[in-house]
Amino acid sequence: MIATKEEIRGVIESSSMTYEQKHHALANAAERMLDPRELLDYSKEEYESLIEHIICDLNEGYGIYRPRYILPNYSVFIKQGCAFLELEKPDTLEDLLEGLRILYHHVPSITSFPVYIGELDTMINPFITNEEQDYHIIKRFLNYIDKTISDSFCHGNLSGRDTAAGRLILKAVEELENPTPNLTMKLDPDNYDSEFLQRALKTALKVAKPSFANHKIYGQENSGYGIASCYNALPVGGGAYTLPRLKLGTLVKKAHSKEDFINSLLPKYTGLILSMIDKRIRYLIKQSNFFETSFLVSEGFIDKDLFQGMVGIIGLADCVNELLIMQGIKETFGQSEIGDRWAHEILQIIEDIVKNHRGVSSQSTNNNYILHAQVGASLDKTDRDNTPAHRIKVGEEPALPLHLMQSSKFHQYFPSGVGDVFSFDQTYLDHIDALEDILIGGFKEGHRYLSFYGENRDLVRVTGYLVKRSEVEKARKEEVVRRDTTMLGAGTDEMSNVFRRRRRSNE
Amino acid sequence: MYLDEDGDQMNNALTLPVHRIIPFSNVDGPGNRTAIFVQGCNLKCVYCHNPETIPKPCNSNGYREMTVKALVEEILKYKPFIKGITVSGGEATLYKDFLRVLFKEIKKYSLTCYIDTNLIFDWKEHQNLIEVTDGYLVDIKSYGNMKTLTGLSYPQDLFILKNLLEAEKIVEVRTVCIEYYMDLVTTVQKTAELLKNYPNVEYKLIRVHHRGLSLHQRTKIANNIPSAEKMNELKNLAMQEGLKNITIIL
Repeated sequence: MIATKEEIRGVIESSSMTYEQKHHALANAAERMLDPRELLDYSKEEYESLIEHIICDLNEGYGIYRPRYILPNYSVFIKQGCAFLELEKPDTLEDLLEGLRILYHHVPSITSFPVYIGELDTMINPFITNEEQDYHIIKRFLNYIDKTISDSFCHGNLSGRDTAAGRLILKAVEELENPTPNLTMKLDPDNYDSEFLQRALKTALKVAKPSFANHKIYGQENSGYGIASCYNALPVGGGAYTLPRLKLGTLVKKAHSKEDFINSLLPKYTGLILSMIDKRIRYLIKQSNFFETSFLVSEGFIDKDLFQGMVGIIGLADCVNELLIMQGIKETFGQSEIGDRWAHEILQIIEDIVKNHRGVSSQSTNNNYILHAQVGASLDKTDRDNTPAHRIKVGEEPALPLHLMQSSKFHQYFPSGVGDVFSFDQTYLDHIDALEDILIGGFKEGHRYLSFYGENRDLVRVTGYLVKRSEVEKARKEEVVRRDTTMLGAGTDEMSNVFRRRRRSNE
Repeated sequence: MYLDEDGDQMNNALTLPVHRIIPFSNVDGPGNRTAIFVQGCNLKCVYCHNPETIPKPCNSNGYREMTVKALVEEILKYKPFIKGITVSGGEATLYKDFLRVLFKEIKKYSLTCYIDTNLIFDWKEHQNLIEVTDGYLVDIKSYGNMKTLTGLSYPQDLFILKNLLEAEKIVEVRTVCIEYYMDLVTTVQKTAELLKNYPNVEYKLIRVHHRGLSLHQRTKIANNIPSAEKMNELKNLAMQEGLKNITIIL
């Protein structure tokens, strides 16, 4: 939406935002002062799709001056230091972590905070000399990230290998109980250390992280990937330019019939989102001078050719539910065979159109934009009609085995990120081998990404990011909270009840 | 009806009275397992938490007769997520002929087959089932007199436990501890004596509780719940016998 003077004044005078949050909000408003019809050459139809809340640019703005997600290749710093920041290559663990802290400060993104902070165990492990002392250094490093990066889309990775650094990191995140950084362990279901995985699963039940990325699938598609932001799989040394999303739950409300939706509306709006992405990328590359001015490019932390466009979808459940009502079928998505069939039909149509579109500057992805299962936001009231991504509405979830089998089939469509989240009762802490079976089974069935957390703990995974329940309560009362994701969490819970996910016990 | 290569009856009329299936269970043996609860039991324990599974199958209790084929189909739905199946009850071993055929089928899919049992069965008659069973989760009810606790008119013999331990078929052993109805000390002592040479087999001493039970059961149990100290004494007793792998569940 184009920003207004009232909006700007509202930010300045807000009684529930920190200085930093106002600063970012004002910068964002500035990006939205410029009319996209003039700046980006949006057509009338494209612009109207934004006004109607059918296509949403997630408030990315129109004056685009940095890619949405950047995944720097931090090994460049380990090998050669950083000339722009006058950093020598690190010799000790302290050098390494101080250098990284400095670098993180200079990594742009849509949130203005780094969304990718590297494969932590791989970077740290060669510098471990004394585990007992190094543990405290690592713990302070992780705590520093939480206290200075006020946004839990900041994401660290773990290689999945059993290393001293990996164990120290798990121990530290368990003790810190911080939402930031988000953490993902890469896991090949055919080749992993069971004891180490069980260690990580216990941490997940206690502090809602790490999540797990299916390394077998992602590693085959892109050997140099990292997990950034919520659960976005993108090339390290690159990233993504932009991520607009198609709100299927809103679009379906325009349909006169199922045929009208499938044959006419869906292809039309999928086409519109693609042409808007074209225009956004073109502006970023040709007008913003980002790639010409960033030291990240000139020193080899990122390569312009490793960026891609992302196409988000959201509200599949609501869309299918609406179509079921239209056809007089009294079932809901997630527990409906015909509903699932239609959902796949919808995604196949979108996938076909996306694959047949030649994207702008997308060499690394075969000139295609890549589909993404977007998990939501609470930007306006239509978000209530759009359940995250491909997920089943909270309250309509089937039993765990059925839910896992239903959801696994949808992960194939989303190479740039998709995930499911399950809440488990505490008995699983004593029977962690059962959770291992569930995770490995899920990965063998096609899940790209799974997150588990324990019920009744303070840390909760909202959609892809973490919040503390206790802080969300403050945000609800409009008190000032440090993390912007806490406010997002409160909003998303109101939209989709994520705090009331079905608790999984023996079922 | 026909006979398979082992001479087992492959008979579509062969069915199992299934009280309930729990697709994902984390408490019925190692890993995530599909637990199948059968209808019918040879005991009637005062503290039974599934008393509805005790009566022999008849029209009035909630169960369904399932063929091997139907049960295999149901289990295979969960195959990617489970290590195997555990048949519990009721008393699973009442249906030994069915279970043998079922287990032979299930093992073709690299799933393990466990039985949760009170070990009240005839050793010789059960050889065919034992042969195809990967492991037993065992309740040792009471050593000596079983009548007041379980209604059984003859004492439990630990001979079957001993044999199954030797055959490395025992996964875990439990005793639910209740005062008055059983000889706690002798039961724990005799069981520990057998288990001490098998350090991988966990002995769980579970203190009886009456949450969720009927009023009738609660009145029988309420005054006979062992104290925490008593439970510790029992644990020490087992440790004196040389047992190390022992857990108290309060």
